[in-house]
Amino acid sequence: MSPKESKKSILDLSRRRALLFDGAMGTMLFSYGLPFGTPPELWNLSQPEIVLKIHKKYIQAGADVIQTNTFGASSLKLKKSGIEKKMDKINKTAVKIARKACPDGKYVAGNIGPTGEFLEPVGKVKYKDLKKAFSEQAEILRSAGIDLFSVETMYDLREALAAIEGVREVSSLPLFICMTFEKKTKGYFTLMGDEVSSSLKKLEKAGADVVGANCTLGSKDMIRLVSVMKKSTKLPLIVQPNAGMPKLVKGKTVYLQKPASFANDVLKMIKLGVSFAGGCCGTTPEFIKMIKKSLTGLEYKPSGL
Amino acid sequence: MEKKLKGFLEECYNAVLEGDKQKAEKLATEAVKSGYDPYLVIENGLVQGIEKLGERWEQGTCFLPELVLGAEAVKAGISILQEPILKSKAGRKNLPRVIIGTIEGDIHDIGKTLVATMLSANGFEVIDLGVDVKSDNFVKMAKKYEPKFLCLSSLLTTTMQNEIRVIEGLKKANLRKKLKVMVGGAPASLSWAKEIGADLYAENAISAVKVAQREIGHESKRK
Repeated sequence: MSPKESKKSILDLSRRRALLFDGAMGTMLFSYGLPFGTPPELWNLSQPEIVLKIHKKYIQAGADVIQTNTFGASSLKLKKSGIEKKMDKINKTAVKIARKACPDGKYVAGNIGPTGEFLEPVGKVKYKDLKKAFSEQAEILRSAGIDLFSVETMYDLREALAAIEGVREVSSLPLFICMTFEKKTKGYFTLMGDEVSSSLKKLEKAGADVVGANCTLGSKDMIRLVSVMKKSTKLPLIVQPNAGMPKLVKGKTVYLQKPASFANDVLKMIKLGVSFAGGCCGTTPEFIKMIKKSLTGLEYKPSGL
Repeated sequence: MEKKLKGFLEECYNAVLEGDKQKAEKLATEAVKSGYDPYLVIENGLVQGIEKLGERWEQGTCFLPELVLGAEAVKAGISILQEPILKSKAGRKNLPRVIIGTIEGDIHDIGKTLVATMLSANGFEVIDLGVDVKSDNFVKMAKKYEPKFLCLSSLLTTTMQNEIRVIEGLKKANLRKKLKVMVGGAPASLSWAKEIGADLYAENAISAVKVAQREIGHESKRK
């Protein structure tokens, strides 16, 4: 499928039915024994068969889109672990693994997360540095053969805009972008204080194709957020909530929400008009399977134009 | 309080609220020149500003940038106001010392740095060991600097276990009773602190300051 066709197909398809993203990659890698402090992206090189297995499980569970294991694979983020020289290989291999797991008619999303650096004046990096880092990573993902971009967990609108600009410098593939919002007394805000409506409007203007939210919030808290997002943009919406709020049990983080209650919340969001849904921290193939099951016979009315 | 001084303190307070580091530096220099009591300027001017921002942050009406920039302004002001104090030995007041770092195997620095900044803006002497700090190094530095507090930060549940090693190390070095261990970071909790034998837990940067101040019996002279 050429990039143009793929762009048309996934966005067109989403006008007819809700599409499912995968669930957490990190949660799964830890369950397969990813050791303490190892960047998950390194397993693309050292344990590719496990990454492949996880992708396949999500496909089997009913995901339409799987996301490459490249969330922290921008040069700025990898630099924190001193492995930025492996950036090219990590990203390329990640796409190769995902492609191998992806049958015809399903999609591979090149996953991009925040750099972990703060922009001036709070931090030291400049907008152009962020844009460059995103554009570098995007180019490797694009040339390795992804179908779309999935930028996630953005807590700073300016960094999100740098990501869109960076991606758009090298590719016109469908671009999905999720901000991460906290629930405050006066509504939903990012860590940097960006509010929902103006954020989504700016992302739309900057060239995103699909906008939404992931992480930080559990599925319950994300339902209200969807109502706010719906009023803010003409673009299709995506949600990837966490499996409830984490609890610490004997020094390990556990997400206690059960797949059925998660799927029930996601279904409510799709009924509100969400077109793309998946899971973030704590979700597993079971969660995606449960959503898939509950979608049968659903009357689908996506928001946006 | 004389009117002029009151206005001056208000300016300091506002410089922090606006996150204006240059203005805070300018005011601190002016305070030194005019011979204002530096403690008064710190406590009733700069620190009040950061406390206000902390309050707003807890209420969800101000966010990370305001907090960080405000804290930077306070730190810049304090470092200028401290010069004359440190010069005169008589006036030297021992600031409560804190050692802080992110635990071995964990490279997350945002939360840890914010806690360090807030503590230092609230009058603590902070030694920041950075991220991925070896357990031995925490113990070594605690021995060298004899801090009142040792703050351990973690964002990964997997590496949190290393906090137990730090506490064991402190015990072996006979340092455990000489300082308070405070833990923090997203996966930490009061029950986690209890489980590993830490003394204190702080939910966020604002609470870290409150917890530390409570421990040293800090009585706010204001209000």
